[in-house]
This record gives sequence, C-alpha cells and structure tokens, in this order.
Amino acid sequence: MVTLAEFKSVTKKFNDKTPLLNVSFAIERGSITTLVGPNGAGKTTIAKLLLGLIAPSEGSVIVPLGLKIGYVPQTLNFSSSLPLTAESFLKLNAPKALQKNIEKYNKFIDFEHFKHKDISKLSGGQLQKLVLLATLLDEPDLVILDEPTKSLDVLSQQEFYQLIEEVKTNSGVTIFMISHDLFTVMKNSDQVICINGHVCCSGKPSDLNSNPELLKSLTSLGFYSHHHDHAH
Amino acid sequence: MLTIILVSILIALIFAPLGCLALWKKYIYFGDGLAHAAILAGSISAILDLSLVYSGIITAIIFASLVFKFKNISGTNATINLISSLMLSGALILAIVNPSRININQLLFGDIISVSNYDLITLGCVLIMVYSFIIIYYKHILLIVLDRDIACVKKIPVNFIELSFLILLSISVFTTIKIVGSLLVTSILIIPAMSARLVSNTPLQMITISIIFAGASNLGGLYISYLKDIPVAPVIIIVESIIYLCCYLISMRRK
Repeated sequence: MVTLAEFKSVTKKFNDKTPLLNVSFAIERGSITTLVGPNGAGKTTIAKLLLGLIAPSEGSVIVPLGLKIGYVPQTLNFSSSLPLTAESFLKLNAPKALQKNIEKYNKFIDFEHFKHKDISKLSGGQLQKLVLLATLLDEPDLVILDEPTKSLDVLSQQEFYQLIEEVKTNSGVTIFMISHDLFTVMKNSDQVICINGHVCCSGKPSDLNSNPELLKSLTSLGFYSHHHDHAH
Repeated sequence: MLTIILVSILIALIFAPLGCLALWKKYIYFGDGLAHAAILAGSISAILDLSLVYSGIITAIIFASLVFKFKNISGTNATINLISSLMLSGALILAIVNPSRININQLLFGDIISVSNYDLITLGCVLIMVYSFIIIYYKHILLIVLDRDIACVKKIPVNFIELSFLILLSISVFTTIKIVGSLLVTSILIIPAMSARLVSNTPLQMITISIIFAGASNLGGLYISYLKDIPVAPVIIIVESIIYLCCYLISMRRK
C-alpha cells in the first residue's frame, strides 16, 4: 500500500490545553481509515490539521503538495434564508466535473429523487448524501468525513456506510472517517485508529480478536462494553 | 427633487444586495449595531466640521475590524452589542456636552430633503464598490454562506471576503445614515431581502427581486411622504412591510 498522508509525532496545543500529544499514523491510498475516540479526544483537531485549517505545535503533518481534499463537516446548518436547490448546490460546488461524474454516483446516492428540492427542506440523510456527492464530484484524492452519521437514524447509518464502501470500491478514493461509534463503522474500515489525546491503538478490524492490546484499549475507552451491551 | 429621486434609487441598489448577504450570513444584528455606532460618526462629524462620509468611513472600519477581531473570542452578537453600545454611549456624551452642534433627531430619523449632489457622488462610489465586490466574489460568498470550513478547504480567501463585506456594509450604512436615520436603517436593509426570499428560488433571483422591492418602496415612500408631508423613512418601512405581507400571502398560496 502507498501512504497518502502521514502524521509524524504531532502535538497540538491551544493555550494551556494539549488536545493531541505525539500522534503518529499513516493513511494508505485507496483505503478507509476510521478514527474513533470519545468526545473531546481530539478527533476534529486531527481533521483540521489534515485539512490545513490549523498548524501542529510540534511534529509534522505530511500531505503531498497539490493533494485534493474533500471535506464533509460534522454539522450541516445551511441557512434557510438562501434559496438554493440541491442541483444548484452541486453546480456551485463542482461545476466542471458535474456532467461527467454525476451518473457514476447517482445509483448510490439517488440524487434524482431530491435534486429539485430546496436545501433547507432536505432531510438529514439527504443533506449528508448531497454534501458527500458534491465532495466526490470534485474528484478529490482524499475525503474527510467528520462524524458523517451523527444526525442519522440507525438504519440510515448502515445505508450510509454501505454507500461509502461502494463509492470507495468504484472510485478508488481514499476515505478518512471520524466516528465515536466504533462498531457501526468497523466492518467497513481497512484501518481503525483509536484516539484519546494520543493514539491508544490502531490496526485492522480483523485484528480485534487476535490482538489483546487493541481489545484492552477499546475496552478502556468504553467501546467494547458498548458493543457488548447492544449485542444483547 | 431629481437628486432626491436618484439618491432613493441608489440607496435601493446599494442596500438590496447587501441586505440579502446580511440575511444569508445572519448579520442582521450587525446592521442594528452599525446603526447605533453611526450616531457616533454623525456626532464626530458635527463637532469637527468633518464630512459625515469621512467620519462614517473611519468609524465603519473601526467598528467592522473590532467585530471581526473579537467575534471568535466573545461571540459575534455579544461583540456587536459591546462595541455598538460603547460607540452609542460616546455619541450621547458628545451630544450632551455639545448640544448646540449635534442634532440627535436628524441622526435618529434622517432627512432626505438635505441631500446634495455630493451625496449623490458618494453613493455612486459606494455602489461601484458594492457591485464590484459582489460580481467578483459571488460564488465564493455563496460557498462561505453554505459552510465556512468547506470554503476554507477550497482555498477561498474567507477572512478577506468576510472582512470586506463587513467594511462595505458599514460604509454603506454610515454614508446613508443622515438620509434614512439610524433607527430605521436596518429595516431598510433587511425587509426587501426578507420579502424577496419568500418568492424566489435562486440567490440571484432573490437579489434581483430585492432590488425591485427596495426601489419600489423607496420611490413609493418618497411620493407618499411628499404628498402627505411626513418623514420619508417611516413611510418606506410601511410600504416595505406591505410588500412583505403580499409576498407572504403569495408564498402561502404556492404551498
């Protein structure tokens, strides 16, 4: 696998707080990497560092020059004062590639169904799909999804992760996903990184049962017990 | 009379698109804060015998820059409240100390009869600045309105565009304050945009309809004011409110 982006001993300080301490990991090209951790673990800080919105205090974030990054933020609060249909939203975000690529994603995203709707009238799921579609149409090398299913119900969450899997298989795009719900996303991920201010553990989901250290870290973060409770 | 009509049209052309942007960016409170701060500009202008345009531009830049600087620390609305209250307090103290030089009533309610060719030229310059900004950055503005972070990722100069908008809005408010008055300037800014939103399907359509509504309100208000000999700004607000009500009824029928 080829490394697309890398965090090397990254520490981020905000005044007297240190949300990230000595964080290192790599994102492989064409993979789905999932970053999990409790609230306040520094997940969004990592996304912002990767996007170049903030700079690390120490260490380095290695992103190749000219790497095209697409971003789907955690919350989408579009102003209802702006009259804009879903179709116009796409044209605004990815005008050049629109005609060329829309067919490729339409069967996954079902854009035709809501393209004439005003964006302020879209459901949470349609909004997430629309922003993801706009991001994908722009043909990024890397897509960052920050808690993409936060406003979706359990069924829609499953559909969304299935969609991500299909998009990755069809387009080969690299996906970096942030979530607080490990067991919903795990089966769709090639790599899982558990974070709580620092990297607690990382590995492939299939390693879970064979890796006692990974299992121990997940349990300490509350993920394993969460899974256990729900399985019954 | 021709100067007054032209000034009314210019105010509509300047305020209508800015009102749409202010509505999209949820900067309505900013307009209100500006109106308060504008009273300080008027007071300084009266005391120093300085043109209101210059004192307005200086105060506008100070106001917009302070809001831009502190909005991330204390929140936008709280910052606007602090700075506008501070400026309003300064203006009131100046008015009490210099009662003979400062006409608070004119600053509060405006006076369209006093407009001159000089105001016409100033508003013409502001018009060019506002439309140049909107034409150059139209798509970028929409992307920033939709999501600031996504706009940043797309390498759009978000800070520059936001600060430019705040400064342009401030300059527009301050250069028209003696004409429309600080009490009603926010309504003149926002109501046409609110009405246009109810009957439009695209951002460009909203701006265009807003310009038509603002122009019609200003000229209609001016005519009624002339006929009945009453202050023009309140009449404009009443005409705008009637248009809003009509748009609301139309939008309800559409549903």
